[in-house]
Parts: sequence; structure tokens; C-alpha cells
Amino acid sequence: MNSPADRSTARLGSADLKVFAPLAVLLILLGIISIFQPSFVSGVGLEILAYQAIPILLLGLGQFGVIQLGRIDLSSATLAVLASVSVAQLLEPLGVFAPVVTILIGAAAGFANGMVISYFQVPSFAVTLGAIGVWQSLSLVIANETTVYVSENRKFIDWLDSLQICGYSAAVFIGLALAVLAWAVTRWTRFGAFVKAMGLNERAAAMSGVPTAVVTVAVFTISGAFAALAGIVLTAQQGTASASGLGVGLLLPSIAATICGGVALTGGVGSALNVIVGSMIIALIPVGSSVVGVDPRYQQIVYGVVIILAVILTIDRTKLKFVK
Amino acid sequence: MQETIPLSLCNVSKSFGPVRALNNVSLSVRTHEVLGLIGENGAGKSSLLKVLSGIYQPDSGDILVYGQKRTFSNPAAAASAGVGVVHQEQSLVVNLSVAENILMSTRATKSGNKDCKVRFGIYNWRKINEEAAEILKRIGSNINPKSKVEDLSFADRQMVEIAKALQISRQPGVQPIIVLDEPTSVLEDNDIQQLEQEVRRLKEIGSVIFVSHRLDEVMKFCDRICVMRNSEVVGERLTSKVNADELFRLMTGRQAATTSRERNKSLRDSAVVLNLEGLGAKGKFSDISLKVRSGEIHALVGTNRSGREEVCRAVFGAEEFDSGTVRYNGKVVSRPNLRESVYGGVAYLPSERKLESMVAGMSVAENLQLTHRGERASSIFVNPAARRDKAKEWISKLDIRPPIPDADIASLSGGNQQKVVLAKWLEDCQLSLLILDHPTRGIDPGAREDVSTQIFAACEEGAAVLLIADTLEEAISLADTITVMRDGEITATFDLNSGAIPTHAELVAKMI
Repeated sequence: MNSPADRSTARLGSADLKVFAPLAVLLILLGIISIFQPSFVSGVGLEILAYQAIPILLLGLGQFGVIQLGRIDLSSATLAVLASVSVAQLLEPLGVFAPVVTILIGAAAGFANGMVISYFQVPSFAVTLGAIGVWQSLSLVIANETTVYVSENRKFIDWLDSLQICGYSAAVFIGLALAVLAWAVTRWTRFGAFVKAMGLNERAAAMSGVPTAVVTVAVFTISGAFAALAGIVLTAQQGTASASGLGVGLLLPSIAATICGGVALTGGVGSALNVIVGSMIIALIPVGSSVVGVDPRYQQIVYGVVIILAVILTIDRTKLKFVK
Repeated sequence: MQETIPLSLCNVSKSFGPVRALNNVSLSVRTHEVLGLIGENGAGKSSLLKVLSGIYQPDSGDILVYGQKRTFSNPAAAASAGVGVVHQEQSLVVNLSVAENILMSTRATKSGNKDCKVRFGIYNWRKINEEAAEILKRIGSNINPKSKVEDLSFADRQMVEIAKALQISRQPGVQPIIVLDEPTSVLEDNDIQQLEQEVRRLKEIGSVIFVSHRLDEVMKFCDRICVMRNSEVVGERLTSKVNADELFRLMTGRQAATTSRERNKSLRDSAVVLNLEGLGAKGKFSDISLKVRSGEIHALVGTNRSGREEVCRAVFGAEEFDSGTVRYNGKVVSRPNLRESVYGGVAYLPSERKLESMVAGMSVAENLQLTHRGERASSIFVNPAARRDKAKEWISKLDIRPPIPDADIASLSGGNQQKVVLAKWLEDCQLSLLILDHPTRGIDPGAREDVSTQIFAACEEGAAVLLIADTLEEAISLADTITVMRDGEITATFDLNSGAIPTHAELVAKMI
């Protein structure tokens, strides 16, 4: 996209190609796996992958906006857990409105984070770190410290997982659609331009009249809503929810998915579409290493090394060149 | 004969893709000489400096050090040949002490050196401070090496930068070649004299390459002047045998034009856009009252500490004030805030371009659109194609180079960046107050003309301009009214339209 004249031709080319680096990494990983287990790609392997990747993608998309801003939301995975137990508890009294209310709860939680960050000028790292504790306790209270089984009105969220086209659930298609939407927002809206500008130079953005506080709050609110949606999908997939359930461990994978997609933690750089690829890479590593037959004791090593390699290959450093 | 020349470039070329940054450039620096290097923005000065300092490697041509072919593969290699660069943007770590900045990350702090200042990773503060003081003394400065850089004035900081470059390039048996890249662009008039003395001292120690866009200074400081245009060296003259007009012609390829403007005689009848009454902010400025009318250029002059920048920032809403009133188009603005200012038609061009006005990493087109005022009425969507077309318009209007709307603004030269940032504000059709803080800082004469023309055009259309000029001459040539400030207070006001044009000396007398 950028073709500054003052760079060498090699760099000029790679700046454009960098966009496809995450996809290349994913294809290489899939290639390696299909050498060991040819049926993985042709069989249900990709469906399992999509199933695993979708909560990571949803969290990653929320995180994408926050990271574009040059900030971080550490509380999103915990908020997904809160949403997961909330929707499980709300289905019985609220029925079809339960998922909607849950998403509003998530948005409100993100809104609260954003307000504290922008109006009290507290670093997002600190605020969202604190928020982890708050959402965790609330989840315990709402779940009554036990596992909540969804029985009544399960149909209102079940479709996310059970409604399938070609073996892929509705949640997958929603996730993909939201990723495309996020990409379109970054590319074609003023809001997207504001977020990018703030991520690259917030002071200059403020001096140009960008409503920085409003944008910050909006981005965190969106991150909260995405986290809630991830939580709903988790409950739909499991049929149960608990405060210590899945989702707690999704924080680092969701951040890893974002940065594997080439998004720089310093803000302003990266594409939402690559978060799709990033979340697939992250979901593929544990699935793939089992398929390939890596000793479970070494799986974390593979996980760590692949993430670092992926970031080395995918981060678009050309646009960070001004950071001397 | 060749062997006595400490550094020379022979037919050096460097291209970036299709863009030729340096074309067959040859240049030599002699000992005890100040070599001036001038040229417009984008003429290739910066590329040349980057080749000299080992940041860029030339595609062809040679670098000779005392007649020996050398490759400067990195800045350390350049330093080992004695080349030390004082960059245009200050590169000091402001929360560290002067001594740390001077000696940081140089050979002097490496273990194993016989008189090293760091042993086993532990600083020997006494030695570090002594050495820093000694280096500072060589350039005639008595700055306390223990003081923090953030507490120093710009002029003193620059002194520290020079000392640092001197320290880096200090090699046994090698004479230092200090490159000063537009050293005067951040200095006020009174600091420039100090710089002149520093350059004299540097000349006694070694050689100096002095890069500037101000012709008068180059002629004052340098022994020999090398002019660049379109990536080539187009002329080399002894200062004693050249005049400013000839240099201007070499630099721009055209005759010097006078940029003074037709003064607007009918200002008294035009509406007051900005009216400050007794504006004050504790410790910064007090009792500031002034009026800026539609179509007027009102210059604030004073030293760095006069409070003039703070007044401008307070009007825009970037800083607070605690007494007095700001009236904008007749209405009292009790607490200006950035967003309301921008949307109310106030533009502010800050002096710290990199920090406050341009977004590096975004394209020229995106930067132009940042304020979103040109299309305020339109929707929440942006149209990249329309944005690019708009950018092309401004690129041709302001002669922005390279003329590529999608180029990262960070890849442009300083002057071109400034044009983009200015265009961002001019884009607004409802612009009514334009606050310019050093709009021509670091810009070459050709670009300055372009910028001035745009400022005049904005005035013609009824905008009021509050200007902090780069030099007194600039204030005198551009402004309708000059308000002089000292220590946060107004000491004099001159109405240039009444025919009483103040002299340089008259203004300075009120400033100090």
C-alpha cells in the first residue's frame, strides 16, 4: 500500500508482500502437517481448526482495535468468561434476549475500562490488569462457584455452534464477517483513520482535533463487546459455563493471534484480515503438534517457538522504521 | 597532495528505486576548513550526510580518507575516520546528565580501554564528569556535566550535541570532521553568535561541514560553499568570491524574488477574529491583550522564554490559562479545547513537527486528511481515491516532493513534511484563525516562498494569522502588526501598516 520513494526496491517490494506473510506462515504450517498426516487438510482437520480458532479470533478482533490504538486489553479473556457464565444464567429468564444483554454487559465493561483509561489517564495495562480481578470475582458470583449447565432455552445460542454449512458453524461465519467489517472500518471510515493516527502519534492526532478520549472509549467498548461474543460462543460450544472454564487461558493466545497477524504492539500498523490468519496459526499449533505426534511435554516449546518465528516473519517493520 | 585531504567523496551515486538521491557527487573536506553545504529540501543534502556518516552505502563511487579508499558500512566506521554528525533533530536523552549523553555508548565507556570510565559495568562518575567537562572546554563551554539535559536551553543542548559528536569521532591520529546539519534551525538569533564561536573552535581542532538553508549564515560561517540541486553538486565557490544572489540562483535555478508583501491598508475596518484581554497563566505569561483582525498577520516576537509560544498554545487549547478572556469571533471562549478549536476553524501549526503535527507511518494523503475539516459536512466514511486526488491537488499547489500521495510522510524531507502539515490546515474552507509557530523552521528559501504564498492566500480569504516567525527579518517582512514580548509580558506593539516599520535593533531592544 505504501510506496515511499526513499526506500530501496527490495524493501519496497517486501512492504507490499508483508501483508501476505502471515498467510504464508499458515500455509507452511499446514504443509508441514499434511506431510505427516495428509488427511488433516482434506478431512475434518480444518473444521476442528475453525472450531478452536473462532473464540481466539473474536477476542483477537477486539484486541486488534486496542492494539491499533497502541494500548492493550488484558481483561478481554476474563470478560469472555464473565460473559460465558452470564449468558448461561440469563438464558432461562431472558430467553432470546440473553445473548443481546450479554453483549451489552461486555460493551459496558469495556466502556468502563475505556472511561478510566482516558479520563483518569491511567495506562491501559494497569486498568485492564485490575479489571481481570473484578471480572473474575463477578464470574464466580454469577456462576455461584459451580459449573452452569445450559438447559432451558439453549436453542437461542446453540445455533451458533450447531447451525452448520459445509461443516463450519454459524459462529465461524459471523467471526469472518466481523473481521471483514473491522477491516472495512479501518480502511474506509473516519473512525478507522482516527484509530490509526492515534496509534502512531496520539499527540499529533489530538492537536489535529481528533477526539482522542471518545475514540479510546469506543475502542475499548468494542473490545468488550467482542469479548462477550467470544464468551457466548464458548458457552454455545460447550453447553456449560464456569468461572474457571475455557476462556481463562485465551488471553495470551488472543494477543498472540493479533501479533502473529502482523499487528505491531506499538500501534497503528496491521490489518484486521490478518487477525483471521493469526488466530488460525495460534489454533493450529496445539492441534497440529498433536497430529504430527509431538510429545505433549514438548508442545509448549513448539507453541512458543512457532509464535516467535511467526512474529519475526510477519511484523511489518518497514512502517516502524521511524522508530529509531 | 591527495593524502592531506582528510575526507573526500568521488563520483558517489545513490538511488532508491527509481528515485536518484545522489548523482555523481564529488566533494572534499580540507583540514581547518568550514565547508558549507547548501541546497533546497530534497536536493540531496540529507542523503549525502547519510553516506558520510555510514547510514547509507553508496551504489557507486568512493569514499577516500587521506587518499585511502574506505567503506563506511555503519556510523561506527564513519566515526573511526573522524566523522561525527550533529543531527538536525536533537538526539539527546533528556533525562540523563550532560556527561552521560556525551560519553554514552562510545568506546570511552567500553571496558578494556586503558582509561575507561566503566569497569565491570559500573560507572566511574568522577572520571565521566571530568572527561565530559574537558570535551566541553575544548569547544569553549562551561556547562556543568552533571546537569540534566532537560534543564538546558536549546543552545546549550546543541553545545552538548557538538561535544558528543566530537567525543564519538575522537580517534588517535585522526582529525575530527564535525558535520552540523542545519544547526541554526532551532536557535534564536542571539544563540547563533554563540554557535559561530563554537564553529571557530571546531575549525581549529579539525574540519566542519556546515549544512544550512540560510544563505547569510553560510556566508558568515564558511570558507567554501558547495551547492546541491537535484541530487547533484551544481557549484562550489569560495565564500570570498561569491554573493548571496549567485548562491540563490545556483540553489534554486531561478532568480531571487522578493517575498515582501503588499501590505493591507484597510485592516481597521475588518472584523476582529481573536481578541485577548488580560490573558495570564502563572509562571508563563501575564496580562496579554491583543487583537488579530481578519486578513491580518500578527507576529509575536521575543526570545524563547518570552512566553509567546505559551500564549499561542493557550489560545488553541493545548495549554491552560488562569486569568483573562479569549474572545473568538466576538464570543468568549472560557476554556479553549483542542477539538472545539479545530472544529471552530482555528488551525495551529506547532513548532515540534515530529511530536505534535505529523503522524509518521501514515501517508501524505492520510496526514492531509487528519483534521477532517475539508469534508466535515460529509459522512463518517472516507474515500481513499478522493483523498488521493485531494492530496495530489495540494502536492502540486505546494510543490511537495516526491509527488506521491501514498508515500509515508516520514520519508519526506523536513520542508516537505512541513508543507503537508500546513496544507492539512489550509484544506479547511472555514479556516478563520491560523496560528503558526515557526512555520518556516528548517525550510529552504524556495519552500519558504511557497509557504509564505499560502499564508498570504489564506489571509486574502479572510483568515487571521497569529505568527511566531523564525527570524526577526521574517516577522518584519510578513507581518502587519508586531507584538514584542519579554518575560511573559508585552513590551511593545508596532503597526507596520502605518508605515513605521521597526528595525531589527528596535525589536531586539524590546526583547531583551
